[in-house]
Amino acid sequence: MTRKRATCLLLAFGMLSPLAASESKAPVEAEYYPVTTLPVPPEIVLEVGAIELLPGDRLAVGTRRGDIYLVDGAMGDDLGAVSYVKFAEGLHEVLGLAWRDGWLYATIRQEVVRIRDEDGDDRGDLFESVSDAWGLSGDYHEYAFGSRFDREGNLWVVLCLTGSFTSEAPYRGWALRVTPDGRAIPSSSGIRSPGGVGFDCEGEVFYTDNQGPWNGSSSLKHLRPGSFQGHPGGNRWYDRAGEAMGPRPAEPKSGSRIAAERVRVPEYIPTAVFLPHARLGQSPTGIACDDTKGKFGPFRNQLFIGDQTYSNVTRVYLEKINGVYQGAAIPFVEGFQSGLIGVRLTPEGQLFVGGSDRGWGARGGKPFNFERIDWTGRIPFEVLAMRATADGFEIEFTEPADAATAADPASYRMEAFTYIFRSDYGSPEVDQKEPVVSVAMVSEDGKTVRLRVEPLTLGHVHGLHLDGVRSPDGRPLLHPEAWYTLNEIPVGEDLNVR
Amino acid sequence: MTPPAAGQLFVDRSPAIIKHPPWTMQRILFPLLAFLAAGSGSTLAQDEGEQRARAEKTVAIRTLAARMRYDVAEFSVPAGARLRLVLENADALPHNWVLCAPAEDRGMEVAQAAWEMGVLGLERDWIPDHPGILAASRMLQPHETQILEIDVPGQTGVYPYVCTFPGHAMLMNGIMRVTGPGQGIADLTYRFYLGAFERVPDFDALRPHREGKLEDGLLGFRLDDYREQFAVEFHGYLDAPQDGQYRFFLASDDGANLFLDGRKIIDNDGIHGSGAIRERRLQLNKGRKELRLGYFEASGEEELFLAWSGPGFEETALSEWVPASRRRGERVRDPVQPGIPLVPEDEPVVYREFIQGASPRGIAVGYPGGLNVVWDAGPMNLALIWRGAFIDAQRHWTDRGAGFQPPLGYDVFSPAPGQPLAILEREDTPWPAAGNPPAGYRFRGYRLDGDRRPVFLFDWEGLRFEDELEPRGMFSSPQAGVARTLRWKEEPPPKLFFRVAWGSAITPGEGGKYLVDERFTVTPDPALKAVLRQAAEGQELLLQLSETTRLAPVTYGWPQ
Repeated sequence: MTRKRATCLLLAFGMLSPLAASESKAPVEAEYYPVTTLPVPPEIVLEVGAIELLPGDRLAVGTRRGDIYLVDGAMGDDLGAVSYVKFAEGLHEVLGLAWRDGWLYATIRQEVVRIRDEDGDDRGDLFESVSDAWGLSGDYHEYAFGSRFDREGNLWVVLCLTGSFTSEAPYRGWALRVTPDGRAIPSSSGIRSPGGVGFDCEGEVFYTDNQGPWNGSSSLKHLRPGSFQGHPGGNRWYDRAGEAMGPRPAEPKSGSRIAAERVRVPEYIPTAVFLPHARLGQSPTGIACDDTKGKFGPFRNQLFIGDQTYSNVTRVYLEKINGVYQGAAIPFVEGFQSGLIGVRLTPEGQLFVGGSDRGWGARGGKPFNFERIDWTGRIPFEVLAMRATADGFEIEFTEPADAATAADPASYRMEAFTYIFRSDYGSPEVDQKEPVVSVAMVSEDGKTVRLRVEPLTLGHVHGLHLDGVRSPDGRPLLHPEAWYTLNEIPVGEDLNVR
Repeated sequence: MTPPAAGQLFVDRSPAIIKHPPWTMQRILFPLLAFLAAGSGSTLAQDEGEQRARAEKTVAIRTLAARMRYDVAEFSVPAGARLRLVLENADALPHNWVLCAPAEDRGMEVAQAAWEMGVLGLERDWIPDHPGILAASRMLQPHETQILEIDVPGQTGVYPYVCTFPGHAMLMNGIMRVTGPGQGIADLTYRFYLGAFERVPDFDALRPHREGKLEDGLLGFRLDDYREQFAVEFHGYLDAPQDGQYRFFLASDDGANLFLDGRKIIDNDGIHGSGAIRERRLQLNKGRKELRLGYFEASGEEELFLAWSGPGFEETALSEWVPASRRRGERVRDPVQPGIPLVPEDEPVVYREFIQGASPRGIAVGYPGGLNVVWDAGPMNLALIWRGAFIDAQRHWTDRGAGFQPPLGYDVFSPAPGQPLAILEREDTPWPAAGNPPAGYRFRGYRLDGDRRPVFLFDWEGLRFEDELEPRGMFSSPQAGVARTLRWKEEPPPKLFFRVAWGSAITPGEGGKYLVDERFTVTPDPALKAVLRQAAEGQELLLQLSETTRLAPVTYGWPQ
């Protein structure tokens, strides 16, 4: 919102002053990724909690009110052709949908239920409970978010704690994976308040967790069977989980730092990518991976994550260093009409999003929304990837950069900080560093620049600002910032500069 | 209390540990001073504070757990008064309380400014540099309390307050109404009575249905379930600012009588509309007057208007409702929430939210015709039957949806709690204690039959059971009830019993019908062996499952 306003100001100045002509070229998101608001009939309250793609260009949309609608015509330009059929109702917050073999699997508060239309009238008739192997105390906070199917055909369910702090019923604060034959295998503890669960393009499982106790900032985390995700509130269920999880891990020490506690608590997987609180968003939700092989633009294999409070989508570039996931978060598209919860990217390269502002305020002003992001085919000038190197970072752009600005260390500014790892709610940014970009070496094709940065700090978010970088025709980056969570520093050659 | 020294307009008296320096004190002081110094916005404290004692008022505001709201959405305080605000954070999230300069936006501009602080907000407790901020608490952590002392501005008006933690303000807001001379009734309370009245009754002879305070100092009634046939007695105090001539105006539908210091001032009794505004002139001495107003509503519209004028102030409403002819400017007020009743029209409606009287796995079904059930996928049993309206979804479909919602209708009963099936080795083997979920059971879902009525499915010890429920009759008919058929396909083990009723006293009646505690009836299929026996508490009715029929039908209803 702030950025959009700033753009408007720049445009206004541009009209007033010919000196600002170069600034008038400031790119806007909609030139590359326009957003279409899909019409919803007035009698439907479509507080989108999950979106799934069905055969025949049809979408299934699950809502917080517990309905599932089948939506036709949502892919086309003719918005008058969008139509809805109520497939199911009364399901207590549909926060996960997955389609397989004629069944629609819905993750709701109490269970994973699979639903089938037996008589061909587009209305579900058979509601089979697949798994209800977790507890509920009756607290509103006990949300259950479900994934689509993983490589082995499992559904992952991430279960919010009873509130922010405690686990009053079995497996609150855990991830379970539900096998095709309906067994629920306890897979991770340490979850606080998830907003979505999904996969990267290799099928690794990730979920988003919200700022709060043991979460200094909202973030994207890697779910590996047997892992601990940082919040010890749910660890009382290790005995119940038995050999699937092994012994209960050591308690993390409140007031410490992640980089220290991951050494003390070996089961703990450090946060893969922080989505820095109050900078990029405030409440991350659904996850989609761009597996469209270029149909959604240049960001192949990257993740797109919704935010319920900021009503935006953030892009994440992931890499695995020394066996640990880490990477960079970069703004993608903002300005949606309500807080995003469900996201789904189709193989044809259309990103469907939707959500609501109910219970937690959201930007946008609408109580709920259902929107679509298309790619125009134009390549935005963006940071495509940010990779850690032995002595800094390597930045890859979507297009060649202007060599003069890209090779000038003064075009870059970096800040670094981390969060307190603690039992209190959230954390300020602490342990600030001011890393210096001393060298910027541009590749021959102009698409990559290697930065030497000192110091690099393990466990810190390294926020890179690229305000001085220009394209050959003088355009700035669409989003001149990237926030890299540095868990590991790779071994490799230092930048060789004479 | 120590008189406020300069620079002490805002005092943090919190016993809680201050985690961040209370820098906000300086931040808010200057805007507040600037505001107070501007034009007519001077406080009584500045004008006459040394000459006369200032009004003092204490207001307690609590954040509601899991509802993203303050418990007080509106309160009134006299201009220039000393306000002692006790702010308690009963929620599990951090919240603050920020008082804003008068604006129609409910504090949203200030909240937006806080939101746009970005990461700076973390350091500054989300208090932006904004001229509209008059006072602010700290960011209270869960279960912290802070006491604020605030000099209420001299300017009358509507002052919004919000929580500036990003995202909270849209729900967490309220208004502080600063009243001038003649505005509002102090310590206003009401008593609400039910009855078919044709005149204002003698309230002393009646027992109130409910009573409470009206914090905004205005006559009004919150109508929930009773919109006809009620009466209200209001009590409070009016402050006459000086000796002189006063005029009172009263209109009501139906009747109302106004008393001042025990004397009837205006008689507007009887059944009528609110078109005629009755007026009375009165000489009053300066000071506090006891106000009493009796009102009743027979049927139709319910309206009540009271206003007064006097030396130094024009006609000022003392009621929420003001006839169109007397309105000046619009008041800021939340619309009364009408509820979201779910009405099964052509088909059953399924509703799986938290239902009072069932476990968190309850599945409510409302059938056309006004019969309703909850089948509970916790104990795998029929949990509730009732008739009349189905359910109000407002609790769950607004805000965060916290809490358990009771049925909207009436004649609610629970046939038998706990698990439906058990093997009883001996006649006196007690029914197993409730497990949740009970051992040996697994929920399997439900299928919708041709009328889209759910048939519930569960496994017990590997055997599949179907629990089929079918409404009988209309809710108001003598035959009203719910027919239940438990079915299974494979041979059940011997001595397997189905508990169909539990209560303090179960009485066999005619036609195989049993009466349970005068609350409900149960009629098992006569083909099944029924066992009525003493339970640990009360009595229970068991059916032994038959190996031949493979179904166990019972019908539930209400006593005639």
